[in-house]
Amino acid sequence: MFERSLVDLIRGIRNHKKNETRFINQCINEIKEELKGDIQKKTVAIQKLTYIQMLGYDISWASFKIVEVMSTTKFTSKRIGYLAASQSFHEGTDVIMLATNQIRKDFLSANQNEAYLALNCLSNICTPDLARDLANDILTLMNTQKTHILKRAVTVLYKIFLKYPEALRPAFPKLREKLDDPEPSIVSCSVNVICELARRNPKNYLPLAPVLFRILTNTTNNYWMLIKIVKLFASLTPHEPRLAKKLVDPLTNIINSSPSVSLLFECIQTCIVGMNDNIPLMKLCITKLRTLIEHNDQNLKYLGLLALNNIMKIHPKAVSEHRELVLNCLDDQDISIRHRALDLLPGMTTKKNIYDVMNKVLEHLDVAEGSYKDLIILKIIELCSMGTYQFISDFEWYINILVRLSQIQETSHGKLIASQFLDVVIRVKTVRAYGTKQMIQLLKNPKLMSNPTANGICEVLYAAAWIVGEFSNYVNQPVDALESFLQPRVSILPAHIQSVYMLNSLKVFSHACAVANGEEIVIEDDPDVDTSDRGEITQETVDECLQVLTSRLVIFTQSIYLDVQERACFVNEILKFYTVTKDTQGNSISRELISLFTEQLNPVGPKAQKKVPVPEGLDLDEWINDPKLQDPVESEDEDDMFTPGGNANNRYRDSDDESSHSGHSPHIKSSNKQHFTKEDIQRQKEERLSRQAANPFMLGGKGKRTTAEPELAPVATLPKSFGSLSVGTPGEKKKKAKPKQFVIDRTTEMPEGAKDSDSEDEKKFNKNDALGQINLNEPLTANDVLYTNRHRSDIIREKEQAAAAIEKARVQAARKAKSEERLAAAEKEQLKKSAKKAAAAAPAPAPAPPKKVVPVFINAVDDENFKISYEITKVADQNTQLKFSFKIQNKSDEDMSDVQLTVSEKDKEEVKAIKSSGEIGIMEAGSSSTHFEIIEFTNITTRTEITFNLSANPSSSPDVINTPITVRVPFVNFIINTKLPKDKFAEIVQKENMTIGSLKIPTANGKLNMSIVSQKLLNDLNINVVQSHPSGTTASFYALTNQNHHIAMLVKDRDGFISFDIKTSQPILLSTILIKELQLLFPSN
Amino acid sequence: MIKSILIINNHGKPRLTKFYEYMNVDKQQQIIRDLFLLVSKRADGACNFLEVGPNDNIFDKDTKVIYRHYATLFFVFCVDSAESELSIIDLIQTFVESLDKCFENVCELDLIFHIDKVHYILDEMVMGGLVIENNSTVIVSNYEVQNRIEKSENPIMSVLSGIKK
Repeated sequence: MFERSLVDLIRGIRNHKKNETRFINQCINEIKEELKGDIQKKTVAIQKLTYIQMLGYDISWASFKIVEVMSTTKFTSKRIGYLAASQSFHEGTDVIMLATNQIRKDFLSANQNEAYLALNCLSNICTPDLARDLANDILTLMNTQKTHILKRAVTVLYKIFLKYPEALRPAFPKLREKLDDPEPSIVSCSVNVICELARRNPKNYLPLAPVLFRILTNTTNNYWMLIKIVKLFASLTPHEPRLAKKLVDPLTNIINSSPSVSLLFECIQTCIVGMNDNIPLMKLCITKLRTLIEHNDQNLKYLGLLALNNIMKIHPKAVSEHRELVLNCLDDQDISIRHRALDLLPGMTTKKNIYDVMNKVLEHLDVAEGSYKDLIILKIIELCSMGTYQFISDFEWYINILVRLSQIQETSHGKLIASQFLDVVIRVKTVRAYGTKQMIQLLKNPKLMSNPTANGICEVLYAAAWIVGEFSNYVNQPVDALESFLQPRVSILPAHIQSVYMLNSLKVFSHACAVANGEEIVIEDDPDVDTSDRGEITQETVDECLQVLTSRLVIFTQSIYLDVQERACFVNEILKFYTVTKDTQGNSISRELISLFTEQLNPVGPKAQKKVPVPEGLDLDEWINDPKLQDPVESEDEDDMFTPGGNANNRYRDSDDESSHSGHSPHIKSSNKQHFTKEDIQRQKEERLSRQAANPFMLGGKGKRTTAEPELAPVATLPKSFGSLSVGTPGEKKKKAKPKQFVIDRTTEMPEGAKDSDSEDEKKFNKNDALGQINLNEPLTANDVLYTNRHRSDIIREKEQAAAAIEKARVQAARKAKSEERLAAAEKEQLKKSAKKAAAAAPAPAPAPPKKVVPVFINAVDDENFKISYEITKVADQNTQLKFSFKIQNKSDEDMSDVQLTVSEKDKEEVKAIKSSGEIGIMEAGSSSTHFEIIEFTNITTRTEITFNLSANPSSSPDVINTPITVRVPFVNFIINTKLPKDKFAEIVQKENMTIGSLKIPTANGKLNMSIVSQKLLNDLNINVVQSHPSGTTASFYALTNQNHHIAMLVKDRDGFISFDIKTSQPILLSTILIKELQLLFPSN
Repeated sequence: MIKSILIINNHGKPRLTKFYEYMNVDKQQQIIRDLFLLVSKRADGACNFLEVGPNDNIFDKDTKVIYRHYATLFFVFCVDSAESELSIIDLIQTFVESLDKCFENVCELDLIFHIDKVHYILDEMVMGGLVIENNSTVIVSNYEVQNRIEKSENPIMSVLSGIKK
């Protein structure tokens, strides 16, 4: 019988287009048979399987046969076997270990080409085991003179390191050697591998910088390698600023003269990463990028924009000069280029040009399609909302833009637009009137409701409805608004939108009532509010509203969505209540109604929820009810897309949850059948008034109870929690805002006790990357050897020897420990005798490790020109010197030249500036710089402060700006952490001629005690305990200053005071300073 | 590093698949499908870089897709940020040139019926995702050496395949 060859198989597949799968399965069955045949048949079968694998069929079942074919002596078969292995083997393939020896054998094959095959295959299928077993063989192979083998051996090393990082240290010298190889292609391969390695841990490869630098300057034609070297430098320069300086010249050279655009481009990229503070170089880069962007080649255009975007992150001003160029790219036919151009827009927008930019973008919006349209919408909103609307001066304009965006049907950014509406209207009070008007128009727009989808444009209605309701004091025609609220079409909208409609129709109605009764005092005294129509809202209007509401609510009280139904019923019942009370008492409950909605709603900080401090004793991870015992609970669909603006929604939800968890269900049970009478209402009204101060949460729960008929709804229980929402009375609102002056409320609400720091949000990136953690710069040790295959008996013998050695060491250690124990016991005895019943009882003031000073930058200056922060660190081995590091940011909009930071004139005589980082020179607008000064303090007692002076010459005026920076030098910087045995202490106190000072600090009901004091003294002042009394009420402390002054203290906790008796071996000044420091440390209030 | 090299025809059929990072076959096919959908949508005048969004789920975040369209075939290279975009474009050109030299006026059918040879040529250029040679002359001469060995091993077979051709 004839077997199919590969060609037959491929023809067959092409001839069976209709039932390809069946044909292939049939072939696979044939192949399974053929694999049982001789090696020739097997080879063809494996060849066919490789093809089939490409079409998406798993061939892992044939792995063993592949190894067999790999092991044949014939090159043709071997080649097929290795190819199949490369394509299908992976770490999970168990037969891979069977290939180890074959691969090793082929490395050294007489036929060079077989070695290529083995190396190539290894680079594809390398596993940790293979890497460990073969690392040594690869290193041996690297001694060869054959270029093609060497090239591959060098390259495969990378995969070995990747899978077996332990090999990196012992093997690296060999790789390093190859950088000096006379053959350029070998150097190229080594550079390639080192470039990959350096991406994981650049610091390791800094010592290679000189040799790489040499290659860079000496090579001219191998662009591929040059590109790799330039890329390699990009990862090295951030770790070695000197390298960046050295690179400026050669890179400038290449940028100016290289004929290779790819090399030019990579040089620019490297400059952006490593040399972005070199202004002339950056300018050169930008000019070059400009030529790329103007080029006809789309690829260059695209990459140019990409790189420009990188520069923009650092030098936004320099890039924004090319705004026209970028805007032109928006017209490009290539969507990728338009994308990149859009990305650049946010950096180029300013308060002045935002209108022009937006006009241009909006033009594009009209012609855009699909996902590109969505992208434009996203960018428009990003641009406008940047920095909490810092570029927008006319918010009516922005509302118009948003309204325009709302006309786009096919977008998935409905929620985003909605949240913008909410955010703007909440933050900018003066735009509320205008916004509300526009929102009523939106509500009437039938297009928005035409095809409602969960994330579509209909989400805008959510915002519209909420705004109209919340700011219904701007609604002049409530009947009109209510009619749009309760159009029958509304019932096809998503449930969460309908719910908002329900509640907000009530808000509109409440306001109408209030106005009609003349009770409402306008909340925002905004001159823009058009109150001329206000008079038209009369009792008749209210009645009309009532009629609209009661007639149209019916549909919604039968809504299939529980949430909607519940709210509709709720509104319905309140209206009934309103009607009933109005009839009997003449005046209605409009005041109570409106008081439901008068609380101000402010934007909630996006992180507010996270920052709510967990109350003490509450374990959030603990189960409240064991989940196994509970029935599955219906999950509530949470809708937190509206975080910036839609807090109202969340707030209601929150209170919902609260009440449904606490006292809700009992009410339902008791009140379900209750029909209210007038007496009931009267009684409940009194009850309500008496309880007004109580429960801050209101509005009944949602969901589970709404199945009741409207008549049976628990109306009677509502007043119970009424009214308490009126936190602020309308009268106390501030008068604000001049005409057309848009004030943006940038504040956000945070929960009480929220932490200031954002530290909890900083996620630490812990790369679990073994290769990246290896340090190459340590010298090789005995442990850094590659794994070698040896005979088993050798290994066993060695293991025994090792075990014996360990045992020996253990015995020795035990012996030593015993003698130490004896010594320690004797010492203890002594201690006991002298210190009366052991110091062990004292609250562990004993040896604390020297505290590591954590450097923190402290703000010193923050004015219109500069923001300066500093940190103080001790200079190692120089007790009297301190290093002051500064971060300086030029906040003004002009460039500063001759920037210089020095010790101020008045301090110059008393301290000695040892070293500094020199003149800062030119600081561009918005740029930052660092600077340090090392200062020696000759007389520490007079120096608790030091003043520096920052002088700068702004480009616009000839006057030099002098900024004094006063830095408090904490005393702790002068104290040397010293441990003193107590007998020495006594000696010092008696011998030395010391000044005495004292200080008393109240313990504030035990809040301050001895252990806190000693802890604080150690942490903040570096003062150690010498001895403490077992009762914990008395302790002595000692410290040495850097000028060998002794500081001794006796601290007592007595009669509600902590008293410090201080003896210092120096003029009174020292003890005065110390007392000041102590007062700072323990504030006595 | 290069993560993957694919040749896909105008109908989305794979003509060469090479993954330098292991993927199971299903994931491989999914990547081929996804990439083809993205690539085939693009106009011929557009740039050779593909915008792969984070939602596209093709490889990981650090992936650039660079492709070229020749007649009926898309050559798609997926690389990480260690590679330079423009030199990958040149590399695709080198690859095509080498194929052209080995097959003499290469066309899709050559690749279909000689998939193994395409692999061998590629292996002379890229090894385990790292480029070892970008000179098409060297690539072709290395490949020819190996072919000669094969021919010497199977004199009859090579004659047969010559007849078929």
